[in-house]
Amino acid sequence: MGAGAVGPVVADSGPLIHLAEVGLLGLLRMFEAVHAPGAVWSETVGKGLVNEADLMGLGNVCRRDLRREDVREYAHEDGLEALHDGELESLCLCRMLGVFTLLTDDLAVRKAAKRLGITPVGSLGVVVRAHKRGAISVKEAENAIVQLYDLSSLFVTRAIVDLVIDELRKSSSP
Amino acid sequence: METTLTYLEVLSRESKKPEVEIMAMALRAGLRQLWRERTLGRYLRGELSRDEAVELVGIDWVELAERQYDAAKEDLKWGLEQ
Repeated sequence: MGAGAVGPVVADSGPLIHLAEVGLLGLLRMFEAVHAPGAVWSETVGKGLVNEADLMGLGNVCRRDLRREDVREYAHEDGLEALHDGELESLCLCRMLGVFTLLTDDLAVRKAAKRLGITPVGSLGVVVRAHKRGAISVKEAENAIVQLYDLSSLFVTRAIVDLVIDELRKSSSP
Repeated sequence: METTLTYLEVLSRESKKPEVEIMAMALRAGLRQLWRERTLGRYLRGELSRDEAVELVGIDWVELAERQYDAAKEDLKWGLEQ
């Protein structure tokens, strides 16, 4: 395992669901803290898509409930009304906590995050970083990426999975 | 497997089509998806031009693949940081 934890992140629903679907929630332990807004909690734990005990068992996950007025005001200020509750609360929470990394697998949210100076990171990025830190081998990382495509509800083209695996192998070869 | 059988049963019942017809439709849809993914893969690997890819699978799929590809590259860059 690499030295020190990766800085804190805010999590949107996608990566929590996708990593849970392939049994890889444990990879989130590498973060100093994973903040999940109430709307994300509702979309994941509330819908039975992520097991609350599994999430809390990680030891670094914090549920953060936001005031509706704050979120509405934030959406209006930044022109984010088109986003769903979980996505919007995630971006709002980033600002409130001063966290600059957002875990999200949604392309529209990634675009909004970048516009706001926040770094978006998807499930694939979490797997790659876990490998880079030595938490999983290159083979385990490859399997995880293939499972995210084959088993999880993450929407990604197979060609992209293959390209990520190629890059991962190149980065791991001596 | 149980899920697949459930899908088949429900789709057959709701569409009032025999299961064998649903299976034939599923095969065609699956092959179309695999062909689309092959085409997008060839485009992203530089084996097809953008115009050729658009001609074969349509602009919406090409643009989605491009956005996914950009996101994957960003994820890789972040993931491989020290």
